[in-house]
Amino acid sequence: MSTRQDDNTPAISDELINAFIDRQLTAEDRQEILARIRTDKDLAGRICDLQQLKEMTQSAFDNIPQPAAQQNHNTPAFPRMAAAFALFTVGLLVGFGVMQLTKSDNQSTATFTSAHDSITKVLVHLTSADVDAGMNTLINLQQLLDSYTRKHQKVMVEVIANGDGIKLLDSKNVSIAKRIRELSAQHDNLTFAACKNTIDQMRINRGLVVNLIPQVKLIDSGVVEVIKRQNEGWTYIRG
Amino acid sequence: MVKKLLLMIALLGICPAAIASHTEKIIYHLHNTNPNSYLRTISNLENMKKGMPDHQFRITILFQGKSLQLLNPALHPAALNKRFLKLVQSGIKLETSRDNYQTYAHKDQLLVTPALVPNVFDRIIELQRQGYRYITP
Repeated sequence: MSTRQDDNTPAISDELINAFIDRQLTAEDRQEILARIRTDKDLAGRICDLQQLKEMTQSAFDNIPQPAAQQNHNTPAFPRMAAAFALFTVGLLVGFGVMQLTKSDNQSTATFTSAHDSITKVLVHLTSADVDAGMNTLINLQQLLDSYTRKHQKVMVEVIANGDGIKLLDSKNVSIAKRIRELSAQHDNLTFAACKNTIDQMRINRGLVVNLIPQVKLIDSGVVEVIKRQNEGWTYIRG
Repeated sequence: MVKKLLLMIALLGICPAAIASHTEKIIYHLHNTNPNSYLRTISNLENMKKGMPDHQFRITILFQGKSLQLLNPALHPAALNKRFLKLVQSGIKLETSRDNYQTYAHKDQLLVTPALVPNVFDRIIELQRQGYRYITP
């Protein structure tokens, strides 16, 4: 698309005119076109038409509403910072929620329940006949109970014996029996229980007769009690 | 630009919690002097780390009573002690009660000196409340 004013002057294309209007020409080219405009009315008219067309197009697009994101550029910094903080908080909460959901073990939930009740419930499971280890368990229990008493916090402790742990609760273990007697007298929140199934099997299979320490109560099944207590939210410790 | 910034900030909030959700917290409670318990603990911990390479771990080994003597390197082959030290160097914590330490520890014979807590049972309760899983090897 080019025109000629006469045969001696080179044609000026629309592209060149557009570049002139958009001020994209070099100073030299621009001067040359300006010189041609003064003598070439047709060229002046074409430039005028194109200039008008560009302005009309520009004004038409100016009436289109700006997208929300662009409008936000003009809003003050504080609301944007508040939004960022709110999103950060939401992110933290969502992340924390996900973290909690991934904890699938009953223990966490159960312990939470215990804490919510504000009573700590502890199950100590005796399965070994090792007297030294048993005595150490009783010493640790004493310290635990004393510690809770000092802190004015509530605690319930149940010691459950099955398997070889039953032998620890036999009256023949004088030192253990003495310690259990003392502990039971001092703490009414402490109980001892022995598995009847184990005692029966010891008698039937091995001819062993167990005389339980008087402070020890008899329960049908040690293992069932251990499962039941854990389901109820008791903290499990192997003694 | 602002949208991207807000998204990044929100992700910053989510990421630490997401990472924390992959942290396994475990208590190993040792309460006897059986060397097999020591061996089982080491093997379990090594297997666990191999089996869950994308997990982070917070592990505490609690020594109750005479089990503290398991930290005497003379009781175990050198290779086993080396494996145990490697685990400790990876961040596993060792703890015992002050009473246990005073009663059972021969200080110059311990492979690693454990941190001291007032009471082992109290510590187990506290850690289980914090979401630690309880294992007796």
